[in-house]
Amino acid sequence: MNDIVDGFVQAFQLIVSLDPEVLGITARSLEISLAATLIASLIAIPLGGLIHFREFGGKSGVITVIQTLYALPTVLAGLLVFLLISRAGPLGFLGLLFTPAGMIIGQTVLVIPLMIGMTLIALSGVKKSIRDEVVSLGATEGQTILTLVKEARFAILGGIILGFGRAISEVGAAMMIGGNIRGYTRILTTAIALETSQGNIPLSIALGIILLAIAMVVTTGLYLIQER
Amino acid sequence: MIEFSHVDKSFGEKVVLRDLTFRVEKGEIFTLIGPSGSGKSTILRLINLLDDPSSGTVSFDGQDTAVPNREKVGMRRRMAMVFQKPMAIRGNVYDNVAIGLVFRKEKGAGIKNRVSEALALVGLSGYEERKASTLSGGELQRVAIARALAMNPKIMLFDEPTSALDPEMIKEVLDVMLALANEGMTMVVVSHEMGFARAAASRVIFMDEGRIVEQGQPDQLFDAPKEERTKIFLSKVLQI
Repeated sequence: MNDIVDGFVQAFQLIVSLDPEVLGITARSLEISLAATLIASLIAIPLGGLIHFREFGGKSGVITVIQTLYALPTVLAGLLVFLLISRAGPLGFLGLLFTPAGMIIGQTVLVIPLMIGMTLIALSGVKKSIRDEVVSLGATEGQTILTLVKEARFAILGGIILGFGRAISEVGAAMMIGGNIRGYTRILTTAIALETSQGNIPLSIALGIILLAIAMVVTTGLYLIQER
Repeated sequence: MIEFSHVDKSFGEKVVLRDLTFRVEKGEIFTLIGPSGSGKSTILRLINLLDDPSSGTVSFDGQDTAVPNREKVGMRRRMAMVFQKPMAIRGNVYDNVAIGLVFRKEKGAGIKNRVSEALALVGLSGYEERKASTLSGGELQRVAIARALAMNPKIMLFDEPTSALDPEMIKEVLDVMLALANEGMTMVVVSHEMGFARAAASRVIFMDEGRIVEQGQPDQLFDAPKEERTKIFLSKVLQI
C-alpha cells in the first residue's frame, strides 16, 4: 500500500516539476493521436457521407462490417499496418516502421471505422426533409454532403472526439509499429506498459494520471458538445 | 413546360400514381387538390426529380428527366420547390435565402442583391441578420419562398405551403403566392386552400388514389363538378 502512496507522491512531483521525460512523452502522444484523428476525419467524414447518401448493393453489409470494426483489436490494426510497412511489405520502401509516422498510420486505421460509423449516425439524425430541400435547391452530391455535415456538425464532432479518445488510449498498435523507442516513438500508453514491467511505478502513475486527465478533457468536451 | 406521359409510381408494394398523363404550360397556375395520399406531393417530387417514375416519362422543357444525376442537378436548378415544412439551416435569414445561389457558385455582390430583392418580394426586407431559428412559421415559409425566388426559377412548385402554419400566418403566405401568380410565374401548387385555388389557379386537378378524377378551370370544377367523387370531396372540404 505504501508503494502505491509513494508512487502517487512521486508522480505528482514529476508532473509539478514538469519532468522533461514526462512532458516529452505526453507531447508525442498528443502529436501522434491528433495527427491520426485529423487524417482519419478527412477520410472518414466524406466516406461516411458517401455511404449515407448513395444507394448501392450491399450497403447494409458494408455498414455492418464498419460497425464490427469499431471493436477492431488494436493489435490487429497494428499487425495489419506492420505487414504493410515492414521491410518486406508493399510499403516497406518508405521506411515507416518504428517511426511516429508509422504510428500515425496505425492509429488512423484503428479509428477510421469508428469515425465513419459516427458520421453515419450523425447524418441519419438530419431530417430527410432537409436533405430533400438541399437537393431540391440544386446542390450537387458534394454540396449536399457538405451542407448536411455542417447541419450535423456537433454530432460529427462528438465522433471525432471519440476517435481521438480511442487513438490516444490504444497501446497494441503503437507498441508493434512504433517499437517504444525512448525519445522517439515512446508514448503514454507504451511508456506505462514498459515502466510498470520495469518496476518504475511512480513514472507509470504519473503518465497514467496524465492519460486520465486527457481522457477527462475529451469526455467533458464530448458532454459539452452533446449538450448544445 | 412539364409533361407527364403514362406515369406510374410505386413505393414497394404501394402504388401511388397510376397511368398519369398531363401537361403544364408556361404561365399556368396548375393546382392539385384531393384527399391525403392521393399522390399530389409525389407529382411534385417527380417534377423536381427527387424521385423517378416507376414507368412512363416525365419531361421538363421537352427533355426527358430520366438522365444521370449530374444532368438532374442542372434541371433542378431551373425550378424551385417550396415544401410543406420549410427548412431552416443553421445561420441567419441571409444564409437561408442565399444557399441556392451559393450552390450555383454565384458571386458575393450578386448574391447580396438577389437576396435583398427576394426578401423584399415576400415582405421581409431588413430580415437578413435575423437568426432563422427565431422566425415564426409564416416568416420561415416566406423565407423559403424568397429562397426559391432568389434562384430566378422558370417554374415554382408548392407542396401544401400553408398546411403546417397557424391560421393567422396562412394569409401572409397566400398573399405572396397570389402576387407571384399575378406576375405570370408558372406554378404547380398542391394545396388544401380552396380559396387560393379558386382565386389564382388557371387549372384545377382533382386527384384520388393516384389518378386524375377530374380537371378544369376553377369555376367549372368548384361550381359544377361532373364526377361524383369530386362532388363528395368538395362537399366535405368546402363545408369546413
